[in-house]
Amino acid sequence: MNRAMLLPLAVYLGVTLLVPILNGAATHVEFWIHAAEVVIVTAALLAMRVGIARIKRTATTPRDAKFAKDFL
Amino acid sequence: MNAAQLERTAPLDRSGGAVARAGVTMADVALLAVLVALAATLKHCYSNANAEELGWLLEPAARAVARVTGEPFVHEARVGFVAERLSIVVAPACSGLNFFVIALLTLGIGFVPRFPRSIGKILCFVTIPVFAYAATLSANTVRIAAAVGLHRAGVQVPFVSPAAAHRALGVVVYLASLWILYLATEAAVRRVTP
Repeated sequence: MNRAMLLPLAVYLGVTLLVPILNGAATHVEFWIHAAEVVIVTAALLAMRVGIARIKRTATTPRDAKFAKDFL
Repeated sequence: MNAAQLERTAPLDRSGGAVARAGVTMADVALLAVLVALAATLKHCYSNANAEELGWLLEPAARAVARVTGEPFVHEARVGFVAERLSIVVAPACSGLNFFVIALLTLGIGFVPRFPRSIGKILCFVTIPVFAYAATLSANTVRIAAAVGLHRAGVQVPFVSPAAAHRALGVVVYLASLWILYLATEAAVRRVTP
């Protein structure tokens, strides 16, 4: 994962999860439901991104490579 | 590594500031401290804000969503903007203030240190809120318009409550928008920095 993905992700998770925890939200059940949703959706997005990168890397034929370049 | 190669890999701050090995100067630290203070102030001041106090975020977003979806939104005092036909409320919680704060910090941390000269850093610093605001309005418009579209279409995700699906949509749109904002800004910054 490169810096262009990591920095926005770190700031996003910091503001949506870490700041509320520092403000005492950790004692509320609603916060942990929200945190679980954020983590699950973020993990799904990252998995998609990694999958797309893998498809791009493993595109072997020129036609595959062109498809990956144009559409992924 | 000769002097010319060193200059290319670690550009010197010609405005006189000392550049540390990591490429972060005292000017960067000062500007980022101001940015973090601004972000903390925004979070603190608007934590319990009503629709009128967040009008600078809610109103343009509601107008844009109305234009995109064709669904009229009516202002209701202290509540927000209501699409009466769909029973959808663009409330203070939907203002995108968190996204604005996240965009401010991401752009500040990511790009202020990239400028070798102090004048560049300051120009970057003062334009960041403009880009963050524009990105917030765009992301929020997409998020609310998508929510309106899903509501109209009656889409329901199996085993997920409508509220959870709405929040998940928010995470997808905000995170994707943040990555797009970062990549677009990086492309723009590459053109103006040596």
